[in-house]
Amino acid sequence: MLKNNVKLGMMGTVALMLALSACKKNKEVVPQADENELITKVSLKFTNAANAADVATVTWSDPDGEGGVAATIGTLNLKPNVNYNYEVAEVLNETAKTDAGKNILGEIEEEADEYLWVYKPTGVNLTLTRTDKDKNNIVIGIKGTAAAGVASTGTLHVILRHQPGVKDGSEAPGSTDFDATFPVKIQ
Amino acid sequence: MLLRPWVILFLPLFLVPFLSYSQNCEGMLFGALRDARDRSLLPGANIRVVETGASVTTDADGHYHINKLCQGKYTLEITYIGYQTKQMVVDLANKKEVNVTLTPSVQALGGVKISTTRPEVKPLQASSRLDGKSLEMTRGESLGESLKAISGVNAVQTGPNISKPVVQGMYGNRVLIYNSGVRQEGQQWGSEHAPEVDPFIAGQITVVKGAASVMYGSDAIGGVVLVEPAPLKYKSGLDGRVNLVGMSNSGLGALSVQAEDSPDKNNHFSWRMQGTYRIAGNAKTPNYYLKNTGLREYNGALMLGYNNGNWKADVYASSFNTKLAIFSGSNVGSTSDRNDAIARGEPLDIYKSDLNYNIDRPYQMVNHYLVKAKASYLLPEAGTLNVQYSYQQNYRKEYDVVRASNQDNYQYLFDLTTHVGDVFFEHHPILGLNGRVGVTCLMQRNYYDGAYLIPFFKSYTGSAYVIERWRKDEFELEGGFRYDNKWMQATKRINPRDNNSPIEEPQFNFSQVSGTIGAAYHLPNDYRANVTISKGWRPPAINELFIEGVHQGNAAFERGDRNLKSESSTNFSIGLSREVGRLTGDINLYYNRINNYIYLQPQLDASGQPVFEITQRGGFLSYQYVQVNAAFTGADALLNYRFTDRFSATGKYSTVRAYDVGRDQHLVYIPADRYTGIVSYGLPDGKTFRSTSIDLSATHVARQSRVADSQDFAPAPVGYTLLDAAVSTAFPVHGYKWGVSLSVNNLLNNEYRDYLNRFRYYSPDLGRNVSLRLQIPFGKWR
Repeated sequence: MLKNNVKLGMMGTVALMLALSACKKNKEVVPQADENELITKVSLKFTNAANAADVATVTWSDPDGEGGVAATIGTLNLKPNVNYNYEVAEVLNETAKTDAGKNILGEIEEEADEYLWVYKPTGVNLTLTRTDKDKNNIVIGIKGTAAAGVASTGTLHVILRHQPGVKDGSEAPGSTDFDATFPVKIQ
Repeated sequence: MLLRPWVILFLPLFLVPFLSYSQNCEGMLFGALRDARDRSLLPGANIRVVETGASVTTDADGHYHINKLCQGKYTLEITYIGYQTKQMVVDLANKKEVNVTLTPSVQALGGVKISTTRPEVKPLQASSRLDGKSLEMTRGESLGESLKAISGVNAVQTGPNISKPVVQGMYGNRVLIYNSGVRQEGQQWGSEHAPEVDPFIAGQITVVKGAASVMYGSDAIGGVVLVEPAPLKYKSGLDGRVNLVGMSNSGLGALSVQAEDSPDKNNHFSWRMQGTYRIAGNAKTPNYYLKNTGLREYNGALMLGYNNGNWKADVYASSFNTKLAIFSGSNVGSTSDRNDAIARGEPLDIYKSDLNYNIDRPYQMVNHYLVKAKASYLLPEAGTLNVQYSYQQNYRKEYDVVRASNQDNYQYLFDLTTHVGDVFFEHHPILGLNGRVGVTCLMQRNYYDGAYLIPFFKSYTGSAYVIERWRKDEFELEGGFRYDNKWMQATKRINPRDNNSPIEEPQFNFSQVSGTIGAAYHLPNDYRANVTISKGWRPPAINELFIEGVHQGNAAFERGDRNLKSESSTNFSIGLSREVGRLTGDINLYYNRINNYIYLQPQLDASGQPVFEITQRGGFLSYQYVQVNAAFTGADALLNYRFTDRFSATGKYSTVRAYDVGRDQHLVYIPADRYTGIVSYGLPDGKTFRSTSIDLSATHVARQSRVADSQDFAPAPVGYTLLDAAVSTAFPVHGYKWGVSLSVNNLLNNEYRDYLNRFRYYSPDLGRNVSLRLQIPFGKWR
C-alpha cells in the first residue's frame, strides 16, 4: 500500500518534469544575428532642378551593424546657388534574409503616416524644404527641395523619426530609427 | 579534477557514525518537536533538562539532541512562544528518541495577535522577515515592492512595474533569491529584469543581510532573499484561503486562491495548490496617467508532500507568467532622444493617458517554470540526509516599438535552462557542534534569438561546503567554508551582428574558497550581540564579459570585457538585537570591501571628453565594464517601543556609502538615506471586529547628494517625504475569520522622484494609491 503510494508519487513527479521539458522548442546550435530593425545603408540623392544629369549622392553605410567596423559616412558636394530636388533613395538592411526585409524604404513609404524625416543643416548655406505629405496631410520628408546658397562648408544632420500613433508634424514624439550627420561642401 | 575537494569535504560525513557514541554518561536524547494539531515541526523551541539545567534549541527542522547524559530518569521542560509549556519524564538507558508535541496556547491580549508562524533559528548575521500581518499588508505587490517594507531593503526600479531588491547597496547578480529552497535563475543581470517569483506563495519572506556565501552560494555578497511557502499541513480536511486585492492608482486587481488537504487517513501525504492572477492598468503620477504602464500576470504552484517517520519528500512545481508594459514616454531611440526627454522633465502630452488596460509596445513577456523534488531521511544515530533536484526554465522576450512588418516579432529572446542538484547532511551534534555538510552541482545553458546582447553559453558549477555552529550557555560560534568551481563556455560570432563572421568559443574557469566566522553573545535582559566576518566571491557574469550593444531604455552603448577577474568581498558586520520586552529591534553596522568590483563606467577620451559609439541612431555614450576596488559601509536600524499594550512607535533608518577607492568617488545607483517613523494603535476587540489596528507612517528619503552630476544623465532628484496610513481588522463570517485592510500610500499625493527609479528621468513617481485587501479563509479548519 505504502510502496504503491511512493511509486505513484514518483511517477507523478517524473511525468510532470517530462511534461514541462517537452515545451522546449528546438534551439539553434549557432548564434544567428537577426536584428529586424537594423539599418545598414542610407543614401540621399540631390538632382539639379535645371539639369537632370547633374546628380549628387551621399551615402551612410555600416554593413556589420552596431559595434564591429564603424560606419562610413560620405560627403555631400553641391554647387553654389543651385536649386536641387532631393529624395531619400535607399534605406536598406542588407543583412535581412528576404528582399522585402532588405528594402526598408518601401515600408517607410507604405506607412508614411508613422514616419518623419528631419533635416538640420549647420554652418552651410543650404535650405531643405519637405514637399511630400502623408494621408493625414502631414509632411513626410522623403522628397523635397534643397536650395544651395553661396559657397560654404558645414554639416547636414538627418534624422528618421518613428512615430506610430503619435505623429503630429513635430520632431519630439516617437523614437529615432536613424540619425546621421553628413559633412557638406558647397563649392 | 573537480571532484577531489568534494571528497575531502565529504569525509567527515562518513566518519560521523563511527565517532559519536559509547562510554558511561554518553547517553543521548534526540527527537522531533511538532505542533499537536497539524504535526508541523517547530524550530527554535527551548528544551531544558530540569535535573542538569542543560538546555538546547530545536534546529531549523524542529529536531533536537541532548548529549552526555548519564543513565537515569530526567524531566524535560519544553517551552515555546505561542504554545503551552510541557513537562515530561523520560527514562534513559543509552540512547533514546523522544518525539514531543506541543499544543498552541489560547490567543491572549487584546489587539496583540500571537503569530502562528514560528521564529526560526536565526542565522548569526542580521536578517529580517516579512510574515503574518506585515506580509498581508504587501499582498498584491510584486516581490521587489513587497520587500521595501523591510528596513534596509530598497528597490531599483524601472517604472512602476519592475522592481529589484537592493540589500546593503547591492542588487542583481549580487543578491540571490531562493524560491522554496531553489536558487532563482533568470536573466538577473539586467536592472529592468524583475525577479520571476509570485510572493502570494510565500508564508514568510526572509532577507539575510550581508554576505551569506557559505550557505547560499559564493556570489551572495550583498544578501539573500528567501521566499518560503508555509509548511504543508498533514491533517485531513480541505481548507485554504482566497486573497483579493484592489488598488486605486493603476486599477490593479489581484486574486489568489490556495487550497490544501491531506488525502490519506494516516496523514502521510499532503498537497497544496495555489493560483494567482494580477492585472493592472496605467499607473498614475499625482496629475496624470502614464501611457502603457499596465501589466498582466498569472501564476500557479503545486506542492506535494510525503511525511512518514524518518522519511520526508516533497515536490514543488510553479509557473510564473507576466506581460509588463514599459512606459511609452521612456522609449528613447538615441542619446539625443534621451537628452530631450530629460530636458523636458515631464512626458509629452501624447504620453499622458487615461486609466486603461491596453498593453502596447514596448513590453516584456516573461515565463518562468520551476520543478523541485526533495527527499530527506533521518538517520536516527547520525542526522538528516537531504537530496534535492531542481529544474528551471526562463524565457524572456522583449518587444520594442518597430516597423509594421515586424509587429509579430520580439527584438530579444533569452532562454535559460538551469538544473541544480543538492546533497546535504545535517548531522547530530559531534563534540557539541551542530551543522551541515553539502555539495551542489549547477548546470546552465543559455540561448538567444533576435538581436545580440549576450552570447549562447553553457556552464557547470560544482560546490562543496561545511557550516557548523557551537553553543555554550550565552555564547554561540558559527564557522564554515565553501569551495566553488565554475566552468563556462560562450559561443558567439566574433562580430555578433554579422552572420558571416566566424564562430568563437572562449572558455572560462573560476574557482575560489569562501568562508565565514561569526559569534553571538546573549546579554542580560534578552539583548543579543553578534559579529560576523565573511568572505565571498563572484565570477564575472555573462553580460559583464560579453555584452555589446544598446540596452533598451538606457540609450547607452555597453561593452563587456572578457578579461575581467572574479570579484572578492570581505564583509564585517556587528549587530545588537532584542526580540522581547517593551523595547525591541535591531541595529546592524557593516563594512563590505569588494576587490575587483565590476561596474559599468562611462568612457572618457584622453582629454576627459565622453566617447560616443556611432550607430544608425547616432552617437551613444560608450560604457565599459571595468573593475575597481570598492567599499560599502552602512547601517540599518529598527527600533520599536511599546508604550502600552495598544500603542507603539517604530523608527527605521538605513544608510549606505559606496566608494570607489581607486578613483576617489562615490558609486552611482546607491540608495539615499531613508528614515521612517510609524505609530500604531490597537483598538480593543469589539463584538464583531477583532485585532483592529491603525498605523500611520512617514518616510523621508534624502537626496543622493554624494554622486557628482557628471556621473549620471541628470542630477539626483531632491529628497522627499511621504505619508502612509492603514487600518486593518478581522471579523467573523459564518464562523470564519475574514481579514480586511485599507491602506493609503502617498496620502498627500506628493510629486516626487526616487533616485533608484531609472524612469525618474522621464516622469515623476506614483501619486496616491488606496489599497483594499481581503483575506477569506475557507474549508474545514476555521
